[in-house]
This record gives sequence, structure tokens and C-alpha cells, in this order.
Amino acid sequence: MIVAGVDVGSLTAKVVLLCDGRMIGHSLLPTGANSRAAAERAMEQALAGAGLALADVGRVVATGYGRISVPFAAQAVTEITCHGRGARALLPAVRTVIDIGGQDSKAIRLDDQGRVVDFAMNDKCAAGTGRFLEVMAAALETDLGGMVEAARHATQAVPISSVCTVFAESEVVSLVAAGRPKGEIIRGLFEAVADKVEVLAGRVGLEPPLAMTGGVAQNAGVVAAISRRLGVELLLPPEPQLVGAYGAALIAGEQAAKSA
Amino acid sequence: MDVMGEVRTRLFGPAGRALLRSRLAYILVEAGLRLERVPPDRRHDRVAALFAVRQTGQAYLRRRPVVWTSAFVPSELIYILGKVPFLPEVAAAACAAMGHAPDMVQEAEKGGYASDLCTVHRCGLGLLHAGYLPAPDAIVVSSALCDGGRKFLAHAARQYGCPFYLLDVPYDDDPDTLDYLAAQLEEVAARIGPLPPQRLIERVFHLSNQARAEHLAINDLRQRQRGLLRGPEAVGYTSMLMMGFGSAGCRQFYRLFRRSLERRARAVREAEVQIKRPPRLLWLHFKPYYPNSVLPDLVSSGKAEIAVEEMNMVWWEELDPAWPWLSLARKMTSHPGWGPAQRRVERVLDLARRYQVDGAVHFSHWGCRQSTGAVRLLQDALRGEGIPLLNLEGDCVDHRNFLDGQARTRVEGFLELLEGC
Repeated sequence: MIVAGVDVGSLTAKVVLLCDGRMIGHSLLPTGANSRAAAERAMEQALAGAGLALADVGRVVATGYGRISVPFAAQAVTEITCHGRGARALLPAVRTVIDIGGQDSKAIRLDDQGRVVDFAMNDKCAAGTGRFLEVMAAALETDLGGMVEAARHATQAVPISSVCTVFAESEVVSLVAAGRPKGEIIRGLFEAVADKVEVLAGRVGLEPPLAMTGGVAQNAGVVAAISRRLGVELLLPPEPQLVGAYGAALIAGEQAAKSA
Repeated sequence: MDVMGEVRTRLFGPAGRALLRSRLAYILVEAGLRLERVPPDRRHDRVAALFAVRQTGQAYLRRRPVVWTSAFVPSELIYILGKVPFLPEVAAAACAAMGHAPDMVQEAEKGGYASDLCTVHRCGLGLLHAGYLPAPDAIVVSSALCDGGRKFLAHAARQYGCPFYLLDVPYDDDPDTLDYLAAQLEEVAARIGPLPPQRLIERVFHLSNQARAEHLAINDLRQRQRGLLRGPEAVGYTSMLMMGFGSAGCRQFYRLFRRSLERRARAVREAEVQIKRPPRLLWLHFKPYYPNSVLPDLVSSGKAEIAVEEMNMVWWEELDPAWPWLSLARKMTSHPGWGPAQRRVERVLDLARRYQVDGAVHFSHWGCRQSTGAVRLLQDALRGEGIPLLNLEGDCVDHRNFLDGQARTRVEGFLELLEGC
């Protein structure tokens, strides 16, 4: 049976198609202002890539911030459960998952059966998330890839004291004006993300092995900063942005099998 | 006609302050509530609304002297003195329910009050400065638990030039504590005066004890029978708990509520449907009082049951009119939230075991140190019993501090965790 997972996040909408547990298609595109439209477009794109129609899909599970906006989903499951499920399926030994997306960051602890036993999320503030890094990249007149490259050559990090994204942006601009090397500022920003992650991991009780998912897992500089801070190697699944949608698709498959 | 909806709309309009002090307005609202069609199962809600309207009218129309109190001063003290109790904290919650708390919080912040002060008190300060509160003849506060409350009320006493009485509640609960506090209660009563006749003490304590018995019956029923509460009833009626005991309206409310729940319990048993029951939750601290989709939906949709609430329990023994001041002192000192945090932990564990909960949710209200400070202790203790706890950060009064989507994800994620997804 063909099943699908749809992850509608604040920045990107993702779809994963599975056939008997095997990935046969996927898509990723910007969410924009309309979650429902983004989910439909992402689904169309994934289906087109696999040469399928929506009628070929037996069950759809939606997740992410916009999960209630997916009209063709049979069920909505939180990204907490989906990222836990997806990461565990891809990395069977994992016990703690760090997911950093567009506006959310979370730590998820799993038991030895892969079930979520505790989680912690950032509250109210999006500092330390994907959006934070985008704002800082713009302030530094570079892109996310450029940030990673610049940080690679820095030998130290300039501490960023502001906890608010807007104030941190002002602080970055001031540091640039004061002549601090951009690479050191960027390493400081990556350390600020690691600060947030350390708190979340502490709240749930970090248990290795640790995996990282979500778009920010593609940022080698952030991954390195978190790894140094937590003192553990981070396992990275292929296509970390798709892990939530993948987990949702797995749940769709399980639900479809139960109903069959 | 939605009477309370009309009240909400007009109270913060141009004529709001005048409406609060209009005898005709209270007559019309009360008449409207009585004429409104209410199903038998919801009559307790009408009694609660009528009680609130009458109490409010008595305070604003100054039919009797008004005594402001903080949340943990026993309402029976004010009733035996023949005065009207008024709690600015309850007014703040009502303001939140009407969707106007942010306006009042902003009013307080314009006046220079710190933005990390509890929003219940910032809203109260805003209501005070905007002229929405009834003038007090005296203010009585308890030193227990809420520090922001007593500072706010001390300030209010200076604004109004009225007497301010602080009941100093010692941290430890022992016989000397009770005598010390009982003496203060008697002195405060004498100063506010006149000291009550014994027959009034007996009447008020009798009403309080009867309401208490009804409340205990409700809690016993909820322990034995699942799924009795409707969405808006979950974590509800705490204002009745704080300012109603000792009044006839409070006794009537709990009596009708108990009857409603007994009818529902019979209906559930008669159905005898074997269905998968949702997780049972222990709710800690208060809740968002403004309209939101998270908590009501949680219960109404059947995703979870609120089996028991920490703040909606009877924690005190029956009051003895032969020993009025000692009885009231004992009520104050036996609150499980006062004293060492371990006392609260033990009480919460007891509730969790008796009500056989699957999980607990602590609603961590912004600025409420006395409750949020114990979250980690509660989490560790509950984890020891195999009961997960969700620390749900939010705000009881200011809806700007509570993002529906974020809260929904946390709550739904927690429920998925409890169901072993």
C-alpha cells in the first residue's frame, strides 16, 4: 500500500511517499502564507515525481505546525511523535532526538522501544531556531552556507549575549562595526544555538545515542557546536528535513495495516 | 439571548464603569439569566452566574461594606462580619474571560509596573487605575503563597486610604501557629468590626460545611466514575472556592453541580459502552481564563479527561463554630500549597494515586514563582510513580502570552506520549 506523510512547518512543507515501507517519492517547498495550499502543492509535487495520483494513496498522516490545515489527511500527529518515529526508523539505536526547525526546537527522549517518554520545546521565543539563523545570515550579508564556511576558519567564538533574535541581530551589526571577524561572530551564533539545545536536552535527560533532525541539522557549524557542548557525537539521518514527514508516513502505514 | 455575552461586550465599552454601578443593570442581568433557557444539566452554571452577579452588585452598589481580600483569606471571615468579599484576582480572571485583560495589563505597565510581575496582579492594577474596581472599606491579605498579591493590595489600600490588615501565616503548621493565627483573625475581625454574634458564625459555618460536604461528594464521584466533566467545567469554578464558602449561593451551586454529575454518572453506567477511554490527567495550578481552543477542546473532544484538579479540592476540615478563630486559622494553615514544597508534592502524589491518573499537566503561569518553583520536584516525584508530567508554560490572564498552536502541539504531543504512540 502507498501511504504519505505531510509535514507542514512554518518555513517548509514536506511530503514523503512510502510503498510497503520504501520511500518512492518526496517533496520540499516553501510554506508561504497558506499552509493548506502549501500542503496541496507539496503533495502534488511528490505524487508527480512518483507518477501517482492522490487516489493511489491509501492513507495520509499530517504533522507540523500546519497539520490541522491538511484536508486530505486522515489523522494529525504532532511533530514530536513523528520526528521520534522517523529518527528511530532511520537510526535504530537513537535514544534522544534534537529537532531544530524554522521556529521550533525540541529535544525528544525515546525509550528502548522507540516510544517518546519525554520532550521539551522552546517556549514563546524563536531564538536558536532556523529563523534565527536566517535573520543573522541576512544581517551578515551572507547565506547559511556562507556562515558555515566562515565559521570553519574561526579559531574562537564571540559570545552573543542577547536572547532575543531582534536584539541579537542588532548586537551582530554592532560587532561587525567594531571590526570583529565575521567567522568569530558566526561561531558565537552557533554557540548561542547550542546554549538553547543544551537546556532542552538537560530538561529531558540526554541519553545517547543522539540524533539531530530538521533543517538546521544541515548546518555543519551548528551540529559541531552542539556536539562540542553536549560532549557527544550527533547522528545525522540522510535528508534531516524530511524526518518528520517520514515518521508521519510510517504512522500512516501502521494505521493502514491495522485497518486492513 | 446570551446574557453574559452582552455583559462582556458592554462592560468594557464607553459606559462600562457606569454600568457596574447601575442598579438597573444588575436587575436586568439577573432577570436575563433567570429567563435564559438552561438545560437541567447546566443549572449549576446559572446559579454560579447569579451568585457572581449578586456578589458583584453588592460590592459595586455598596449595599454592605466591602472588604477586599487576597485569594487565601477564608471567605467565611468576611461573611461572619456581615461584609461583602471582593477579590481583585477573581476580577482579573473575569476580565480575562471577557478578553480585555491585555488592555488592563497595558494600563498597569503604562503606570510603570514591571512586566515580569504576575499578570493577574498587573491586570488587577490596571483595573484599579482605570476605575473599574469597587472602593474597599478594608483590605485583608494572607502572607501565604502569593507575594505579588499582598504588595498589590497594600498599594491599593494606600490609594483608597483604607485600613490594610496582613494575616501572617507561619511556615510551619503546629499548635503555636494556630494560636498565633487565630489571635490575628480575631483581632482583624474586631478592628473591622463589629465582632459577629454567635448565631451568625453558626449560620455561615453551617453553610460552608454543607458546601464542603457537597464538594467532597463531587470529588468522590469523579474518583469513582470517569469522564463526568464537560470542557468548560474542567479546572473551573475556582472563584466559588475562593469567595463563596459561607454563602447560601455557594452551597446551592455545589448541591446542583453534584446532582448534575450524579445524573451524568448514571447515564454513563447505563450505557455500558466498552470504549477506549482517553488518558486521565491531574491538572496542577490554574488554567487560561480567556477563550482558547486548547483546554476546552481537550475535554470536549474526548482526547483526555481531567480526572482531578489540584486547585479544586477541599483541603480543610469542617469548621467548628465553637472555635471560630482556630477553625479559620486551621483552614489557612492546612492549604497544601503553603509551607515546604514537599507538602505540595505529597498532596499531588496522593491525588495522582487516588484518582489513578495517567499523566499530569502543570500550567505554569507567567510570574507565579510560588507554583512554578516546585515543577521539577513535582516532575521527579511523579516520574517515580511512573506518571509523566507536562510543564505547560503560559498565562492565566493575558492571552498574548499563550500561543494556541504552540500549546496545542505540547498538549497533543503529551497525549500521544501517554498513549504510547
